[in-house]
Amino acid sequence: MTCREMETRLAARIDGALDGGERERVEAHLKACEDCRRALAELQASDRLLKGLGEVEPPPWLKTRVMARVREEAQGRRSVLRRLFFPLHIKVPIQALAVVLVAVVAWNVYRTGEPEFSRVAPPPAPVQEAPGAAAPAADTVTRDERPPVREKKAFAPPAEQEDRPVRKVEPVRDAAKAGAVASARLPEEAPGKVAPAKDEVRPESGGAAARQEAARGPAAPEQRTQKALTAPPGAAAGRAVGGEAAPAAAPMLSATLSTRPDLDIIVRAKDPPGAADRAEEALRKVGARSIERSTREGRVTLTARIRPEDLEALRENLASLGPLSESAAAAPRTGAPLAVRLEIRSE
Amino acid sequence: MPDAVIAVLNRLTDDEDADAVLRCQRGDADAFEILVERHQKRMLNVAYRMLGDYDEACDAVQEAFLAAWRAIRSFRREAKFSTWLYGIVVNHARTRMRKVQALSRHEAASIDDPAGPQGDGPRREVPDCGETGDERLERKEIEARVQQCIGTLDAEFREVLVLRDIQGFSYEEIGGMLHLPEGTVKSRLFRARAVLKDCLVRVLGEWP
Repeated sequence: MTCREMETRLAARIDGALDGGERERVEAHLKACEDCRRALAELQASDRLLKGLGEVEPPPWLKTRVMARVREEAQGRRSVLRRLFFPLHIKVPIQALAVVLVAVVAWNVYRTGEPEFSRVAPPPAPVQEAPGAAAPAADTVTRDERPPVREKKAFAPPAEQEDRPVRKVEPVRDAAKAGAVASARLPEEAPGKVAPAKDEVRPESGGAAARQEAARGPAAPEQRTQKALTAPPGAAAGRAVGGEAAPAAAPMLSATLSTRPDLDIIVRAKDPPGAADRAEEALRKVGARSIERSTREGRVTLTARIRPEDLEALRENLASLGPLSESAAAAPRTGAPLAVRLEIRSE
Repeated sequence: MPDAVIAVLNRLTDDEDADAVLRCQRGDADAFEILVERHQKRMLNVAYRMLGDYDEACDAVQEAFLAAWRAIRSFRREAKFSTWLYGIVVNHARTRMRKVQALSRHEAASIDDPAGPQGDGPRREVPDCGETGDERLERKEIEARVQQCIGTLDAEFREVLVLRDIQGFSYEEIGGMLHLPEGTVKSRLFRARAVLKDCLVRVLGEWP
């Protein structure tokens, strides 16, 4: 074993890290080598110096600083969740957002469920009419029977209803001209079902409404579902503005349609809007009154009142539009006008 | 009972820090104060002997404690807490040591320079009395020379020397702190002892 090889073995020897065989070889070398004995002595002295080194004391501020930072971080760690949920500047916007979200969801549910709501909604109460109202047989028209309209109407304040002349179709001027005839021909309806004065439509407002409707034209039929028609838009406007009276020969029918039709006729046509126009014309040909038209989900509904004797003529006219199916709700009274509802569906 | 489970149980019962560590892992900062109080002196001495600078050592210990607090939830009790903790302070001291060495590399001369302790050697923290010889050196001055020699060792040798010969950790503990096998720890240590001895012979002159 050379002195160079002894170097690390001597370093191991000072804390007894040599195993049996190696220790014997090292001891044998040490007996024979003066330099290695000296090196061992130096290593042992070095070891004593190291072990005798004094210890330094930590400064008092060391623990204080460490713990201050540790507590700061511990506080921060705990307050992460608190920061998310507790301060008002986070909590209030979250709650506001939640309220808005709930409102939007509720509105959407209402919108999407509206047809279902209307289907299960109870029929409306009959229109309150003041017996013996002053207006003589004013030819006002009740609103379409469709449930959504009723719902809207139910939420609307009465004053608003009064301020909506567009819902009324026949100008009072027409009604006034034909009033005497109507009361003479249909005495059973005139006194009791005459619209109260508050529901009457002033000529000016009715004319204005008709003009507005005429101006809009047929571009958006869905938007005018609530508007009654007694003639095509142009004709209605012209009559209302120009004061052209209804044909004097036309019998004056009831001022108010009953909420349930006496007869439902379903027409299946390829082109429901076009067929509806022709159906409307057919109604007019047979002298129907109080014609209302509405469109919903591709179906066009026309309601009108006709004399029972004109029913057959109407059927003939409608037969050219497509296959018909009828259902009568109740047996009509003899001589009383029939409330007819035509529904034009797509084939 | 499996040996591994027994080993863990033994470590838990042997580890005086186990209770405080558990509390720390539940977020109890007060329990960490116990650990700081218990280990700060030895950690500071490890860092001081590795760095040779008291202020640097204090900073390294602070950083080590904070790092330990941040990571204490990940401590799995596979070793004693003190082993884990001293491993952290050795890492921080080593990082600081390298920074200091990089900054002063072009300025500092080697301890092997012929000028010796009175020359331009790395004696920033060590006061130079300007004299050599066993009888004339005060204890503190000898310590300064020893520290000066420790500072000449490469980091990998210095840390095992400090941990074994100054702080008295076992080879197993040092292996745990440095993530080294025992054989590597021993070979580094024996080499470090030999280099340090040569340095001391040069620095202290006629010695022992």
